[in-house]
This record gives sequence, structure tokens and C-alpha cells, in this order.
Amino acid sequence: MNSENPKKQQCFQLKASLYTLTTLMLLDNDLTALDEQLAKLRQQAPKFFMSAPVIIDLQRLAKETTHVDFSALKAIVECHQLVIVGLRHASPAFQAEARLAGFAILPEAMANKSSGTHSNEKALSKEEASLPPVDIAKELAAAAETSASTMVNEATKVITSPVRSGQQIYAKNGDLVVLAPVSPGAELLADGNIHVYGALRGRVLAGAQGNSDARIFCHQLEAELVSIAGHYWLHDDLQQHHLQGPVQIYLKGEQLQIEKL
Amino acid sequence: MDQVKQATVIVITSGKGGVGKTTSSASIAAGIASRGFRTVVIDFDVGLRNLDLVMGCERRVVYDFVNVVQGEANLQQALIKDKRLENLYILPASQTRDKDALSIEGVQKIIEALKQEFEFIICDSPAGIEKGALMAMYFADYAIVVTNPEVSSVRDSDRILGILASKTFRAENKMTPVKEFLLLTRYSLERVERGDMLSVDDVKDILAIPLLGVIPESQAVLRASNSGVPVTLDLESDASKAYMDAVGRFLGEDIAHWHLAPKKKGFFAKLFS
Repeated sequence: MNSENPKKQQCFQLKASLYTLTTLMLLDNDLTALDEQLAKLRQQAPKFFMSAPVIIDLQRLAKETTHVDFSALKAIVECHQLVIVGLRHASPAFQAEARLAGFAILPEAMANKSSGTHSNEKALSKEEASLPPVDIAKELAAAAETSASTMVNEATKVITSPVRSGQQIYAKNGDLVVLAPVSPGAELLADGNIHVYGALRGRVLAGAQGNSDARIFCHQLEAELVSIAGHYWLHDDLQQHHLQGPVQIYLKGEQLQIEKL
Repeated sequence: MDQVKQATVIVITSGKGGVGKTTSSASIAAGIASRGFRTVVIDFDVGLRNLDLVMGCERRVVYDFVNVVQGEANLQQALIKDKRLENLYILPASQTRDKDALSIEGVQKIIEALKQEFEFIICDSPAGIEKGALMAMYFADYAIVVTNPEVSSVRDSDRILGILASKTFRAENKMTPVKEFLLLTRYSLERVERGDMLSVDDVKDILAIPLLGVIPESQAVLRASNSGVPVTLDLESDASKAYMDAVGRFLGEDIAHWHLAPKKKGFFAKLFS
């Protein structure tokens, strides 16, 4: 009834806003190399890649390029945890294909105010001046530096005393090893793997920042909750597996797996 | 009294209310005092004072803990000497104030003063994990965690153990941690065997601290606390023997846990009754 009421309040507004976004300038059409180089960069600066929005720019792509595999490009960039906002400077020939692959095509007016043609050298240099690539490089380097230093300091956290109800232990950027029991109501978090050598009765969350390769290893599994990269099982789900003794839990696709050690 | 010997501060705590902290404080204090040690037991439950009742000295309270903290009375005026044991003293809580009257500096001043005169200082903690409980445990060297064999009590004890490991003077100054012991109270072997209660092993398994003693569920405990006599002084009951054994173990004696042998219990019970 209410939904047909014409007087119903509007539930959204569309507004134009300006944001500073990172641009991924594609310099070469070699997608394999792109994948490798992104992976390398991501290792240096994992924080920078945490769902960061990016615009893909084809302006610097060699003019003789006749074909770009947009679906593959999208898959590669997204698999490195970047979120694609849209595509800039795609020639009309590429636009249709890019649209099909699910790219938003950013209009030229928005992309380049000074000129409609992207081959214009003047416009290009002017644009490069207005878009400060140095800052992004700096930001990247800074991110790489902080994450590198924290990696060194907090690589693995080792806990030797019992983890009690109400206590929370977080191993940032690394693994967590507990050599004592973990009580019900206690919580273990790690960006990497979690090992528990006493009875595990609390909550354990490995890959807390989304690392789906993280695993949980334990000697006696009676946990209230286990989670890897946000995929979780409660106590009852674990009980269904009737596993006694040492086990490991890992993520396969979207599904948690449990197996005896 | 040996002046060289450092006084020992023990907190009797639990997290959960109604598990027997005050009864255990009174019993353990009386037990230690009866072994010849100069002992004082402090009631930290400001606003809900009970220890004086359990110790049977409620009519002799003139000044209290908070009066001493605030300089309205001196320690000697506030300490109440037990009528039965000459080594035992009680420092009662204030009934008209609340826990905000306590401060770390105030508590420290009193504990330091008591350390000059006593060998054992026993702090009877209030329930909960708020200020009163934090103050009671802050200067402890030893903690006796009183737990009933039921899941909610075990979880609260676990929580308290976590706080003991992080929010005491010893923890904050990276000294050797507070030594923790488990005292299981209101234990009924029949109910454990029926599966209505957690067993000693279940509780030990979760809390993972040494067991000081198991106090059986007993009419004698209720009778003793209603008549203002620490149960350790009622020599007839099994609860009294259990508390005395716990005290013996705390003082380093090697005493077997006789409650843990269900088959033999009838035999022992007959022997001791």
C-alpha cells in the first residue's frame, strides 16, 4: 500500500562530487607482465591495495595497439584487490568492448578538460602537471615502508600464557602462535595464520584483513567460531565434522575446509 | 614476628557473585591465623559489607577501611581483633560509602602499613570486574580464585584471571606475575556424577591453574556464616577439613586431594565424622 503512495519521501539524491583517485596508467598491453608487477607492488605495499579505487587510463598505451583483452584486464586488476572505478582515454574502437567487459567509460570532458583529443601533446603534458604522479609514488613508497617495517617488527606473535575470556589478541600483519589454552569468550585475530597448541575454545579469526590464504592450525578444536578472511563457521558447524585431535582449517574458493593433521 | 620476612598479600576473587568469596576469605584467614601467622583480612566490598557478619564482629565496627584511607581514623582504631584467634584481625569495609571512595594511592598506603605488622594480608574482593575488584587485586602477590562448578562461574573466573594477568601492580611493572590458585566451592559429588555439575577436571581443564582445594557443598558452611564463625573453626564438618587442607597446601604442604576419589569418599567421610 505504502509503496504506491505518491507522497512517499524520496529515498536518494544524485549529486556530483569530486574525488582524487589513483590512476593506473597502462603503458603496455602485456597483461602477464601487469599481473606480475602488480603482485610485486602489492607485496611491498599491501595496505595500499586494500580495496583501493582506481581509474584505468589508456592514454599512454601505444597507438598501434589494436586489441586489449578487457575482461582479462579487469580480472587481473581486481584480483589484486583494487576496485576499478572506470576507464579513461579509451578510443571509440575500444569503448564498446570495454563496456561489454563491465567498465564504466569516463567521459572525455571529465577526463580531460583542456582538450577533446588525447593525442594532443600539450594537453598531455598539462594534464600530467595537474595530476601529481610524484605524490602517488611517494604515498606508495610510504605505504611500502610502513608495512615493511611493521612486517619486520610484528611478523609473528607468540603467546605463552592462557588467553582468558574477554581478552583479545591481534597479530597485525603476521602470524599468531599460542602455546596455551584459549578460553571460551577469548578472541584471537591475525592477518596471517593462527596456531594454537593448547585447547582452543574461544573465537579465532585468521586472515583478518582478507588474506584468504591464511590457515588455522590447532591441537584440540572446541572453538566457538573459526573464520578465515571473513568466511566463518560456528561451533555447531564444527561439531558436524566430528574431528578429534590436531586439525587445520583453510579456505578453498569460498568454502572453509577442515582436515586432520 | 620476623621483621625480615616480607608480608604476603592474597586476593580472594571470582568475578561472579555468590560463589563463596567472603566465606572463603574468612575461612582461609582463620586457617592461616590458626597456624600461628599474624593475619589480617580486609573487606574491599565497600557499600555491601559482609565480612564482619561472617566473622561475627559486626557489632564491634567503629571505624572502617574508608575512614583510614581518608585519614579520619588510624589503622589501629579500625582493626578489629578476632575474639577466637589472637593472630587474626579484620579491617571492615564502609557500609555507607561506595567503591569510588577507594584509590590506588589510598589502598597502597594501607597495605604498606599492614605489611609492617602482619605476615599475611588477605583481600576479600567484591564481585564484578569494576573498581572494587580491581583495587582488591591490585597489590596481590597471590590470587585465590573461588569458582563454583558451573559454566557461568567458570567463565567469570577465567575473565578475572585475564585481568589478574594484566591489571595488577605486578603485571603493570613487569614483575613475576600474580600466582594464581583455584578454589572450587559448593562441590557436590552426587550432582557431578548425575552430570548436573562440572567435574573438578572439567574446571581445571578450562582454567589451567593449580588446584588449591575442593570445598564440598555443606550445611556447615551456611550454618557457620549465619552464626558468624569461620567454617574452619567448626572442626566437625568436612568443609572445615577441606578449607584447612587448602590452607595447608597454600603454605606449601603436600596434602592429597581427597575429594577427587569418589569411591573412597564414603570411607573417608565415615572416618572423619
